Amino acid sequence: MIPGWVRRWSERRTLPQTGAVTLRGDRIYILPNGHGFLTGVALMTMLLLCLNYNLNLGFLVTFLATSLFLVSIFHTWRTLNGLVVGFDGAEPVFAGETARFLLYLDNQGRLVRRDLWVEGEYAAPKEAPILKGGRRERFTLERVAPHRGWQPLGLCTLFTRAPLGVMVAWSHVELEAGVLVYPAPEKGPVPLPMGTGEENRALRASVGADEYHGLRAYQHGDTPRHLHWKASARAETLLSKQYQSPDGQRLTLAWEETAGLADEARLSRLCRWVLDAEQAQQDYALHLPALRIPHGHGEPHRTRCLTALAQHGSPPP
Amino acid sequence: MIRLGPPPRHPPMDPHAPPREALRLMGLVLMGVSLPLLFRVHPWVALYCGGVFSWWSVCLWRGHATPHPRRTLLLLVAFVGMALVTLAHGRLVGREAGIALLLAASFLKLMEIHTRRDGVLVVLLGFFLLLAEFFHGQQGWRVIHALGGTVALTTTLAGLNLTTHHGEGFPWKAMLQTGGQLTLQAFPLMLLLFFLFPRLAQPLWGLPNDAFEGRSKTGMSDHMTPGSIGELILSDEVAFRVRFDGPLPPPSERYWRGPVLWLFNGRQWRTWVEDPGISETVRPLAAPVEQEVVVEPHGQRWLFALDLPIHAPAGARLGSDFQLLSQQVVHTLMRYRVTSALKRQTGEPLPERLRQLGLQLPLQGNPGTRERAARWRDEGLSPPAMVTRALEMFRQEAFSYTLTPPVLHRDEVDGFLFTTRQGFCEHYSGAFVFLMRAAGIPARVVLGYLGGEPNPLTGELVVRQSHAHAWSEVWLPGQGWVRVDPTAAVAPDRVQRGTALRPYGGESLFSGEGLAWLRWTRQAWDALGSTWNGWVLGYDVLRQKELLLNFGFDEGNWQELAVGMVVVGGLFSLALAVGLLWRGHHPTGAPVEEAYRRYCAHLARLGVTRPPWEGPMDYARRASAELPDRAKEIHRITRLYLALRYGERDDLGNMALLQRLVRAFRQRRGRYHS
Repeated sequence: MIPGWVRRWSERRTLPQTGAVTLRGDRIYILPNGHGFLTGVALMTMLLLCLNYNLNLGFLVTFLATSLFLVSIFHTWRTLNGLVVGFDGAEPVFAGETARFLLYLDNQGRLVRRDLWVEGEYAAPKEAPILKGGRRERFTLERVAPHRGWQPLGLCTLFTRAPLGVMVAWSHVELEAGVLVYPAPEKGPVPLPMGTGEENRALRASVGADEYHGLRAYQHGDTPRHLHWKASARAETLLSKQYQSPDGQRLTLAWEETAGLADEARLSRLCRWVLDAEQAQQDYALHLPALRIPHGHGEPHRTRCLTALAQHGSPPP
Repeated sequence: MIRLGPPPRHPPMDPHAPPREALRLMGLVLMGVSLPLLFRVHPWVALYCGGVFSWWSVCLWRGHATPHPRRTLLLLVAFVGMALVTLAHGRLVGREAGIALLLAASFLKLMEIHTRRDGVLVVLLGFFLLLAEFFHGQQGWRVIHALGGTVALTTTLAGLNLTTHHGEGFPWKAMLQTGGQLTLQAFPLMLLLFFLFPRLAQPLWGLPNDAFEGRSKTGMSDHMTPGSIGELILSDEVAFRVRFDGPLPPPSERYWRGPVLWLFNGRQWRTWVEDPGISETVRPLAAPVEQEVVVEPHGQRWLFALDLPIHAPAGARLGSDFQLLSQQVVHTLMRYRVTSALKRQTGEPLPERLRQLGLQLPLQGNPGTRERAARWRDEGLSPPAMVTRALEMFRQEAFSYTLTPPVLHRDEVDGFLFTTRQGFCEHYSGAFVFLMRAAGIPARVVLGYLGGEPNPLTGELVVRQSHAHAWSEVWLPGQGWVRVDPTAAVAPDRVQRGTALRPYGGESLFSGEGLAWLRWTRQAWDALGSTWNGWVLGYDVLRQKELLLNFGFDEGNWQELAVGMVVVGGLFSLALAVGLLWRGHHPTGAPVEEAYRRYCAHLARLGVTRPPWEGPMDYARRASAELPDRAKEIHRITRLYLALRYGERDDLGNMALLQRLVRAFRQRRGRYHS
């Protein structure tokens, strides 16, 4: 649709932007597409026929058709002009999964914009919802995140062929958008580390035999199943039960425990341990060469550990 | 981070077929566009197209998104179509066959739409169909149909590009809006292109032989059989329009010369194939008359002018019998200037060949007429005397002028002169020429028109087919060819008033004395037609040059013309761009914020400006402190604004209320001038 060399040239001219991007004249490109050339050829033929037979009324028809198509060029251009594109965030995923980037399109004028398509670098083109005047629409762009770390969205292309489908107007946007990709957890049976030291004790075979340990204030991320309703009603704040294995186990997931594997494999294994430990409701600490995270459990703790694993070796963005 | 390599370019997207409603619309529009052609094309072809269309309707209305006939079936139907066209027209090339093929192809393509590109192809085929109907005529209704068809096709194209979203219906309103907007904006550009685009004086490539045949037009033919002029008289169509440089000639001089008929075979008068070596001279005896004639297409080559044309226009030739013949067949409106001499004398002596022709008579037939002519010769009458004698005969014997004389079968001249004595201009002129030839005077029949209606609105003289006439010319020594109109002897009214006759007596409704408003209506309609002819239908190279001269362009200067077109086109595009894109540059923001912004502007005019960091509540408090009498409104507006913007009261009713309050706020402001 858009010739390859034109597209590469227009991509090269695009600079990364921070924040939301407004599509303006110097950023929008427009060319006829295949249908447009076909129409052009047809109109030229009609014109030649009219010139030869001197059909004045034929001229009227030909020129009306030509004018309609010429005027539609402005309309196609106008569909993109003034559009604001922004990034709304992306949930972190594990390597190999599909990341979903939440983008928003802001239509600030009164014009209804139709037939908008957004394409990411590795994301398939997807049609954006129809933007009525003054509305903001969200939609997700999906792409596969193959490696851990910070995965930027890359160059997005917005294009449209409205209203007649004979011209294609496009614009490139490089947003400050990215997703944090955690290392893929190792597959297969991976036992949690058993180590010496008074902090590490042998795991029971069954992870379910935890004993009631006490109450603590509800933290965001505790499962609702563990809420102690009676105590909460009495105390008038939410309290959740705390379980712990009778030995009071606290795990330390250490980089050194994964010796013998490649770097990425080590991170994979650590990631798996974090997930398993979290599922077992154990307290765990993460010890990496660059940083150490003290014991804890719960959703925020898990996120912190996974983030640290994801960012191992590369500076945070 | 490892690059994955160059990202894959996704294949061009036409993942889904066009929306079903758009396809239905397209089928209907295609049928609408083809209707005039279907009526003109061979019946088999029309039936075939109708059949394919019905097949398509059945498929689509049965609920399929697109018709998906089996490929072999479609090929078979296509083959049948081609066979039909060949059988109907005898061949596959040529105008009529080409149009038939185009029709068949369009309808077949309708059956085979899978992607948007197929839809675009059908639309383009539709454009060609619209163009094709102009080969059949350029009447006014065709223009309306064609322009309407263009807009409809473009709207359908817009419809093809719309997609339905999540349970909404097909956006008909959006499609029609798009079509309407585009049409309004395209119209001025179309006019600009139409008037400024250069026209050619000659065709680019030759016209095929059958390019314009079959066009519906009446007109003079190159022979006169009994009744042929009579048929012509029945038509009220305009033959041509004339504008004079000077005053209009009197009605008795309004003879318009057309074909000259020399050869008589007992029943039919015909023109002769001219011998280029023979020519005659003419000497005007009074000031010649200049005319500008706009002739409607009639499929022959003669151009009409006042009797006697002495100077041919460009692209035409004056024959030796003073027929004006154009080099090209008159198949479109043609405008030309010609000079005529009302009083003139042709040169002497008469070339021998012409004399022979002028005395040609069939070997047998009409003995009564020959006998009378012989009697006059024996009496020793001079040629002018014989002419007078013949005219007296018409006047004194009981001849009458009627458009419905009894039909004669043999010896028609005898029957007319001696038995029935009823006829119209055909009979009179034919019989007179026969008589003169029998008496030894070279004579010929001239076809043309007599009369014309002046149109006070345009200052033109309008000559219609109902003014068709036939008269005679005799060659008299010392005078040359002299016009003699025997009809004048019998029905002088016909000549004097130049009115058209109607078959059963009486006069044309429009030229009667009464019903002046009816006449005015016709004149106004005719004036409209004449203007249309001048500026649209007959817009040719000459007209364009005139127009451009008015604007100061040098004649024949193509560079200036091209530059002018580009400049005007560019200005227009600029205006359009500004108009269309202005709103895009001005983010108006959500209506709620817009209303609040206006409210702040009103307050600012009253003296309380809102700095950017001040929140709405603080601003409201401050404003109420400074304008205590507006406090209630201020608070009401602010509360409503906050609820709409940040709260849950997100409905149109409250929106409208806010806007009304802000407007009322503004209106009251006028009362307070502090």
